[in-house]
Amino acid sequence: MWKFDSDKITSERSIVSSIVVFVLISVSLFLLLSLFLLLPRIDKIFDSLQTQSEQETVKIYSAQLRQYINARELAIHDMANNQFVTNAVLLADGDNPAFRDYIAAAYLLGENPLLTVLDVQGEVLFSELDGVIKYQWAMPLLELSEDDFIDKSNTKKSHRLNIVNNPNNTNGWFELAVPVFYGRGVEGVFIARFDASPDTIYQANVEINSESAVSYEKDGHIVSSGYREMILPSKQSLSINDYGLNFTHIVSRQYAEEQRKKFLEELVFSVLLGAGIIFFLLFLLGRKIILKPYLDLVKTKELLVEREREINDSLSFQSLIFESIPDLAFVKDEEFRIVQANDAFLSAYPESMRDSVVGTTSVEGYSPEEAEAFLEYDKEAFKTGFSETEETILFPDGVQRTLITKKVRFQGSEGKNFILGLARDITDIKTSENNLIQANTELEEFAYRTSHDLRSPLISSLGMLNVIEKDVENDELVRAKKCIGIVRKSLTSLDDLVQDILMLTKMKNVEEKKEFVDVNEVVDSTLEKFSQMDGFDKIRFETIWLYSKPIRVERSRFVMILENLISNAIKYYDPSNDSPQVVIRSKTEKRKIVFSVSDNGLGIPENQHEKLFSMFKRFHPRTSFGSGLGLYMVKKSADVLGGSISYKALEPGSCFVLSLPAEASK
Amino acid sequence: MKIQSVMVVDDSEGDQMLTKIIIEDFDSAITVLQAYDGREALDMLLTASSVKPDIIFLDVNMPGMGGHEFLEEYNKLEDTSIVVLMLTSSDQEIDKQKSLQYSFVKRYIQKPVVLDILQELSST
Repeated sequence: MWKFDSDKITSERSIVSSIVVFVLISVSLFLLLSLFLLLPRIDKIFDSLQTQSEQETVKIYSAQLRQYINARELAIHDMANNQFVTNAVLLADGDNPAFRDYIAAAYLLGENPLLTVLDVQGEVLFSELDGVIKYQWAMPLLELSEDDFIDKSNTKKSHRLNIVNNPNNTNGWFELAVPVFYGRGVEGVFIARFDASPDTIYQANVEINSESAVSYEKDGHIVSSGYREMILPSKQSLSINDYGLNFTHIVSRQYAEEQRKKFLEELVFSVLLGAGIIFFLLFLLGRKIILKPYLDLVKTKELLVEREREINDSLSFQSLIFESIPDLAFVKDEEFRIVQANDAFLSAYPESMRDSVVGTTSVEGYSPEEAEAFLEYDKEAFKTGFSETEETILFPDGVQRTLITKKVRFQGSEGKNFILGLARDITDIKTSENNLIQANTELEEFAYRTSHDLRSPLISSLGMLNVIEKDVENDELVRAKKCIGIVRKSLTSLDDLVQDILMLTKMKNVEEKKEFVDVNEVVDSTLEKFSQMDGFDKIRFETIWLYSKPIRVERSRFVMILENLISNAIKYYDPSNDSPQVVIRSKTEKRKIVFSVSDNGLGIPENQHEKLFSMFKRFHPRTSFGSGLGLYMVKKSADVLGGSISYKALEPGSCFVLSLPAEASK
Repeated sequence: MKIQSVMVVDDSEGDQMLTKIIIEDFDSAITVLQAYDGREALDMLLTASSVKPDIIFLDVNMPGMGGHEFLEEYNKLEDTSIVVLMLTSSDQEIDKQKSLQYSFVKRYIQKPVVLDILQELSST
């Protein structure tokens, strides 16, 4: 069972980082939103930002300008009444800030004021004409004293218009050099300029009363100038008020524009910087603190998915193994109930029971003893973790099987104990093992008995030869002759034994084909073969054929069986019986073909019956001829034929029964 | 030990005769009793009228009752004073051990060494 301890940590980290991300993003959004909300209101904000002193300054300038404008109004009024009065009204020194603003504002608005400012003595205080070639000089327009200016009520009329000769003006017009004023109209700030010729102003020709030329030197220049007395048309309706002057604002606006521009630049820079820093932080933090947990989470999730897939693969593989192994596999809980069982296990139950096996204990279907044995090893496995046992069990499906069962305890995910049982059906192995053990035992017995039975007659004969040698020396020929007979007998029996052993070896190794055998014929030839045996003539032979068809068997083995059984019957006849007989029968019985050879001879002692078909067993002292291998060979041959051999004791005598499978009849 | 009577228990006719010849050659006064398996030998011992042998020469492998079964039965008798000498062509150690576990079995002899042992026994 897996536990991802990192889960909790990861989720905590992701919560913290989520909060950090949320805060940072919120701040960024707030900053950007503020910027967008602030921009439209920036003017008002800056207006309010202007300092008191700045506002005071503006007020003073405005007042001066107002004063100037008023003077202009008077001038225009005079001009309209053919009274050329002052136009150089600004008694300002050259450093008048209002005047500078005045000019600056004009430039700001793309105008090009041609302004000359004179003092009352006619000295140029400021001139835009300076350096401009077409205006070489500007004359004072008015001949006013300082007092006149101050006291407007004493303003004198001038009938002379100071005009400047414009050398480029071929029609000889003079330009009226008047200062400008500025105003703010509905459409914005504008400049009203009086630098035009009089007809620009009056939009009419002026009548010239008189003309005189004057030429004089001024600042090293010869200035020719003409004076004209002009009769100006009647007054135009031109009021300063029409222009809605607002000088105050000109100044403050320019200032504000500059400040705003500056502030905007700073603000945008700050906001961008702040946002940049935040995003940089986000980028830095993002990788290590914010994104990492998410990436970890994603990674963990991928890992989990991967792990889950692996687990699923592994589970299905385990399940495949569990279901496919030939062993009987099952899982039991602590109450000995089967919670899982594979097909091999279930197949040990009759089909009708299979569906209900899981959930029951396995012991219901067994005898109480076997059930107890089962549970004993279950208990041991639960207690010690492991148990192993080999047992032969009668299964619910009626088959007896030998199983080697291993039980292993394991813990489920909820902490409960289970046992996994794996039972291997070793019935076949067991049978083979038993056969092998038996074969081995037989082999040992064979080696032992062979060594004994081969040596005995040889040793005996060698001893006899010594005796014979002495007897011949001593001329005791009668005994010598007797001894020679005994030696012959010993060696003959030795020869029989060797022949039997050879036959046995041959029998074990040769694969023989089946063929149809006429049993009657075999019996006849066998009797013919043994007709020279002791007692043959005394015995009455009888054959009863209830099954007389040829049988399909390995001929030599079948013949060997019958020969052995018949020769035994002859060998062990009872000489004391007046009418010894041997009966050979054939019949069919329960789908088998049965042959029997029975006699009324010496029979076999009861305590020897079980050893009857073992090697080297002889049962009759004094009449002991033969190798003791005969019935052993009979048994082996019967096995090869797919049949069986059995013995029945008769009173008196013996009966050997050979059963062959019904297939032998086909 | 004065040997008057010897019983030979052996299923082999040749060995019976050989042993008998050797015994008689050694001392023709010795009576030789012959049994062809353990059962026959026991029957003879249990028959009150029969001669009680001083020595039994006993073969191991015999049809019917073999040498080992005979020893087992003989051991159950009250009187086990007869010296039993195993006389066999078996050289198997297991046969030897099974025989010599009985105190009355004095020798385990492999055929055909009979004369030597008779000489040895008669000299004691």
